[in-house]
Amino acid sequence: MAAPNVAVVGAGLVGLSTALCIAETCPSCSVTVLSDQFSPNTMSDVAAGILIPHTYPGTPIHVQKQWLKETFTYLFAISNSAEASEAGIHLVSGWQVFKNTPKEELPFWSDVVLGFRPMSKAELQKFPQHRFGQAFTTLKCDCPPYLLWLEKRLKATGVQMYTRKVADLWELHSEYNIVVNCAGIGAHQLVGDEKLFPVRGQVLQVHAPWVKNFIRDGDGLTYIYPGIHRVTLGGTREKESWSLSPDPGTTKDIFDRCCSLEPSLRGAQDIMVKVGLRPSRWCVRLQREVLSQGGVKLPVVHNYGHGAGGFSVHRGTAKEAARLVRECIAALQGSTSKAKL
Amino acid sequence: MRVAVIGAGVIGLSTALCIHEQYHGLVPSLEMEVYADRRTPHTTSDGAAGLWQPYLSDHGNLQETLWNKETFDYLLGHLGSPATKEMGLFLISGYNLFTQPVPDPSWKNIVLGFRNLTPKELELFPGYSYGWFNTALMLECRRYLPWLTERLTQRGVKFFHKKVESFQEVSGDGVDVVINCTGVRAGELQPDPELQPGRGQVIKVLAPWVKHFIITHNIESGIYNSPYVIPGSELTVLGGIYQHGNWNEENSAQDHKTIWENCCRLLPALQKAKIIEEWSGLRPARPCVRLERETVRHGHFQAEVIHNYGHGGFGITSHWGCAMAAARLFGSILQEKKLASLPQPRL
Repeated sequence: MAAPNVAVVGAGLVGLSTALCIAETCPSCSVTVLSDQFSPNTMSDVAAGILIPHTYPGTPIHVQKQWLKETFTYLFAISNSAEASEAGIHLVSGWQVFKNTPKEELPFWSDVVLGFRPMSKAELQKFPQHRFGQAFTTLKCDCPPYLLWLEKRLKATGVQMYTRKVADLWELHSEYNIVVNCAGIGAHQLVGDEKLFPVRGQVLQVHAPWVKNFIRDGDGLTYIYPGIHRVTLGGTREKESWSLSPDPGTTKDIFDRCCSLEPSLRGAQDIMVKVGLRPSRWCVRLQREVLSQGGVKLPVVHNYGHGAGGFSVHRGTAKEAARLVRECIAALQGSTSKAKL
Repeated sequence: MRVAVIGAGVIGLSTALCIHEQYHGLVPSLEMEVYADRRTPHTTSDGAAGLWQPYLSDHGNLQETLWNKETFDYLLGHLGSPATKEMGLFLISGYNLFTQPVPDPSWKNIVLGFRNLTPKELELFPGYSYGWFNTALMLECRRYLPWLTERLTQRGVKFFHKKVESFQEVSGDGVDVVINCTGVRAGELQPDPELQPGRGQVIKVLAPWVKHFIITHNIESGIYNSPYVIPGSELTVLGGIYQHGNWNEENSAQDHKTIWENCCRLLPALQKAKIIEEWSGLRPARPCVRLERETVRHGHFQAEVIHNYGHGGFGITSHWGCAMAAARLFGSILQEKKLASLPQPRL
């Protein structure tokens, strides 16, 4: 197969980074990104973009750690380069605090982030309701600039991007040899995956430029993540809620919870409210599938279901998806030669 | 009892507030005036980034270490209060970088979470093989000085925008106590060969993605002569100039080049940062802070002078401890004048 035609469905963090990995590792491929939404209107645009992993119950820890390491290494290099501000990637330090000491004091990712250590007594004094804490330095991206930066990189490698609502993966079989499904929460409808469910998150993005450190409650519900221009305050974890409309009662609740962690936020200005649906799943669906109808086959690589942890593992899963695409190409070339025989 | 404070930088205003807070209740007749030729945002304090961090070594000036600690603890205590934003006070974490191992600083237990850098962190800073990470405080004088001014004005303290030419000028006017917080130009009121300008220059840029302070150190070139990057609430300060004895307050093109090239080498992403301001200032450098009483006489008049100047590059860092010490000196003056009976001043 001279120039395999690969379609990537989805233009969020996973779709764009997967398309880029495919273009980087498979120069002979012609890659096209198809999505009904592009930044700033994707679900990823709402994400705070902090590299603090979410644990997938159904994926082996060593695999998650590998994805995390690859993502961290990739972003670390960008944050250290002249492109950091354009890509929206920067280092941020802070604290994860717990009201009750967690069972696992050392999470699997403690040696991937920088300078991980328990908080000192003096540091904990700032959080009178919390008994235990962890201090570390990690990476954060502002998703809208990062997505734009990924799009720019894609255009530079010749990848085409089109606004198009794909209703069914099969509709692509005549134009493309391989389809990569990075539809995120859209996969629920696109491929009818009942195991994929939304976890609704409401966040506030506020102007509070004196907040330089992140603070996260270990329960994952309350967090303060300083971005380039705004600080993201969160949040909620509402399983099975599909509503994209901000809820005013929730807004007040998030603001109050964050102010109790960081009182200076009372002076925050210009509060913007956003809602996202985390594409949650027991494990990330990262696997090949072959769709076939009437003797015609369409190889598919799925890469969706990253839930709350998309940013933390996106590059790692993108690389794995690209590897699966190369397997699909090899399989296609194998069957082509068989056909010739 | 009339008190004249000369100087409205961080030292003058905080000393004025500290004294007024502690003694106005005891001495209802206390009248305080602040005289300054330069006021915020044109003081030396306004140009500083505002990072709380003492020099690497206190050179045996244990007193200064105590003042620094007192200041840090005082500011930390204010962190949760509603005034924090107005004061320009916030926590900030960051890096101190060295080309060789160095002993831990006197302030390692004052700041929060002090530790050495890991090898992976040092990868961020090629050319540096050793370093520290800690969380400290920022106190931006462009907000802090107006906040202090507001507190003082509410207390009835009067401000005079005027250059005081001599102690006699204010003492002859019926002032009983003069608080001398004149910083680098204290020599104009009373010669002090030990006081020298430590000229600095900074470039202020828009780089809101920078969330940490980064201070490099070059043991040979000396303090502040190595690049540093300090993110404020609006602008990020790039610096790394210390010229002893240089009184020039004009920006130097050569220093601009030095700062810009060195800081961009340290943090490549700064190349894309937009330059907003450039400023030069004179650190009031002295082998040790002059914080003491003196009786100054002129003809029939005499005034008690409390000197509080010579804080070099650690004025913000030490200001509250020094203000408290000056207030204790003031208390002993009151006792002598039998205006108040106070418990023995603590050292």
